[in-house]
Amino acid sequence: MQMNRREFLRASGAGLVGSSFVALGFSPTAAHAETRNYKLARTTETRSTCPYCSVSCGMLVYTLGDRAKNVKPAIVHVEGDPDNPVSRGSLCPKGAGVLDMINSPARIKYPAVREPGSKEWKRISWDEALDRIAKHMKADRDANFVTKNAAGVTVNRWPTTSFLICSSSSNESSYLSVKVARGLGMIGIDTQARV
Amino acid sequence: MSNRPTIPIKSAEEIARGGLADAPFFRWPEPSTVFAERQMRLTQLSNGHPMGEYLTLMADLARLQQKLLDEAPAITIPKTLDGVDAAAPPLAAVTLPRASWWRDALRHIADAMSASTQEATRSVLMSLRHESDDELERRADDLLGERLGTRDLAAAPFVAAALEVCWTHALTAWRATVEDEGALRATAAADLSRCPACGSRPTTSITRSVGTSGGHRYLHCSLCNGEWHRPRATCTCCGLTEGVSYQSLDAITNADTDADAERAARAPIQAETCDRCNHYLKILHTDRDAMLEAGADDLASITLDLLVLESGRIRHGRNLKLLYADEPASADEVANA
Repeated sequence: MQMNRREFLRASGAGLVGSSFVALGFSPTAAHAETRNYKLARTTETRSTCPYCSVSCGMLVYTLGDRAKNVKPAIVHVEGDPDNPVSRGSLCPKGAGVLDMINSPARIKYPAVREPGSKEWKRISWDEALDRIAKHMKADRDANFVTKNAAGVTVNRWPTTSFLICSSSSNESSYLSVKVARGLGMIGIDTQARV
Repeated sequence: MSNRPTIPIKSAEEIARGGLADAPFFRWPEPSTVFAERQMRLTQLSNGHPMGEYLTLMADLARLQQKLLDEAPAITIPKTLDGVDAAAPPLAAVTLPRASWWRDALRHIADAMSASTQEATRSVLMSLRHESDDELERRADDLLGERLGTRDLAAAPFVAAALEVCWTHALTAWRATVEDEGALRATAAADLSRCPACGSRPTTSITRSVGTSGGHRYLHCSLCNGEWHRPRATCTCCGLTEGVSYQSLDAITNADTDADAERAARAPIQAETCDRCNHYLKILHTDRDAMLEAGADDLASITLDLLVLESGRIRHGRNLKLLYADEPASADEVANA
């Protein structure tokens, strides 16, 4: 939006000069002095979706810090989003406590592995994690894949591995998840709907 | 101010089942208390406020507004006025024929207040008292058309007060005809940055929690005191969600500790600024402070306005009790200021 001259004058720090307050003979000195006792603190409100269950309640997530400056943003407050058509501002006790999960020191933020015989979790990269999972899946599938049932009908089942899908997926990612899992022959597919 | 988030807590099953009411799109003013509440809140806020005397004067004005509204003559307003387009606000500030009693209301205000106030205010009220009908109508046209000149600023809050009573009364009368807010949806679709009933700018926005609906944000009309719903975390001026952030006051002595920052995020009054259109409008959180009143708290939180304006933002809101000139000041006027 273009700023016209009048808006520029108003925005240019004239304060209360040029308002009905001064026009009525009041002194703006005290009000202007008051501004020196304060600074502005900035927060942002971001729409998000509760990660816990399939209801997928809308959330307003309050983040501190100016993204333009080199300040690490921190999430300080979470509220139900009153404009969400599903939850209309409500959260269940678990969702209302999501802030503690986000800021928890025990929160898992990267892949880790505890190898056979070891007591320690070892941090690994996403590439390593995905390779490792793929290898285990392939080995298990090769060993246990069922191509035909007792009657000799082709079934192509992989009965020994199951797949748990994220609860708050979009339609598209749910569709893709099911296609991938069924394509591999998996039978056990579930979502983390009310865990 | 509570330190805990005020979230309606329900079980997941309850939420999934629905049963949560739709928030009304439009909230009508309560004619029996609208100005009385503003008066009470202004009086409460004036104590120790750097603009205390002004707030007291405006509290007095609000008291008179309530009296005038209580005694306003009964009127009937048809659902659709002649010549008003269905997509235009039905009680548009610039086109609705003004009932002549608004001038009587203004003269009553001038009479009643001229005894009790300071010199500059008294002379403004005395001259208003003796102005012709035509002159008062011109003042109303300029104010409602957002063409307020610097020389009219002193009289503007009093003129605006009478017009505010007039429009609040008209909206209440119109409500009796149309019964529900459905009639306003067509006009609202056109421009939600302005009041769907009278086309005026909002004073501020305020969150309302009623029954099962919680924390919905409404824009409070500066002229008719109606309120219309706008989603949270959305610029009220341009309607975009990108680049919206919230500014609140923090004592300058505070170090940037986490506790201070957290308090700022839960401040009861924030300025919602938009990086896209560069405008701002305040948001008053009634679930953080139940005493907040749109007109009064917007006026009393002037420090926030001054700091936000200093950072180069443009005010989207308009408070009829603290008006700024809409027209550019002439070179002479700037020199004299």
